[in-house]
Amino acid sequence: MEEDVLELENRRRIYQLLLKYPGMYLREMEKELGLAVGVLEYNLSYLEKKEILMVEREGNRKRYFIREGFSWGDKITVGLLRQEIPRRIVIFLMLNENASFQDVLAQFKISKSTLSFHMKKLTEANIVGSEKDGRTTNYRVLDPDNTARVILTYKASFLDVVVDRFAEVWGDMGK
Amino acid sequence: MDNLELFFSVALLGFSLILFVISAVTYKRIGSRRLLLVSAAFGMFLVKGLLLILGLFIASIGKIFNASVLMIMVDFAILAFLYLSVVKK
Repeated sequence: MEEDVLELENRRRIYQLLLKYPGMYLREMEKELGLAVGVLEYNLSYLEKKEILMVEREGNRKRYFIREGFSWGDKITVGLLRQEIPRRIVIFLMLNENASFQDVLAQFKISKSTLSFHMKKLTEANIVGSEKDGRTTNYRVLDPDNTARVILTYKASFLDVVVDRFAEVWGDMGK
Repeated sequence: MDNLELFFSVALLGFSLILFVISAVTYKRIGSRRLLLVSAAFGMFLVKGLLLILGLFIASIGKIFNASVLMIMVDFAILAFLYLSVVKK
């Protein structure tokens, strides 16, 4: 599980770097990010396959760019995943498909009502789907590819950080 | 016009504007009614700050606002919104 989170974080770093410096070479990225070539190549090829990046060949060397017209998801999904708690819940559900409410609750230091509130929002936005299994409700991410894309390309702005802190200060956001 | 009064009136307006914007954005993103009440409280602070500044430059507004009842009403509204946000289940 830890490996998956690490990969997502690596991809996020690669994406942010290419956004800042389009057309970088593999070796330049290796130096800048401090990642092993193998890890970098694996993640670059993943991002290329998912059509997030494009490659231009220059002899034996490759230059990497963010694909033009790449959209990172609809407004509601992006809006929700900009918030720290929903984003962390979704990452957890991507790594633990069909986790129950109690499983999610055990992972986060939040109250039941706060979690219910976020789960309701995520379900209403069709990011997360739920299924009853006896007395427990299990959750899963409905479109993992698109959701991963949004998380991958997300970069916290100053306002996002401040808003998260404000929500934290004003405590339980349930209801 | 007292410089200290002007300084604190501008500071009150600035801080209340920042906090109002942050609380309103948080409410918009999270949609909790509790945050709506907090936003309303900061909104009242903003109104108070605006009236204080205007009162410093326009004598008639200053006169109305200096009437203690109005001042108490605005403060009461701010505290009422904050209280409701705390007790709201």
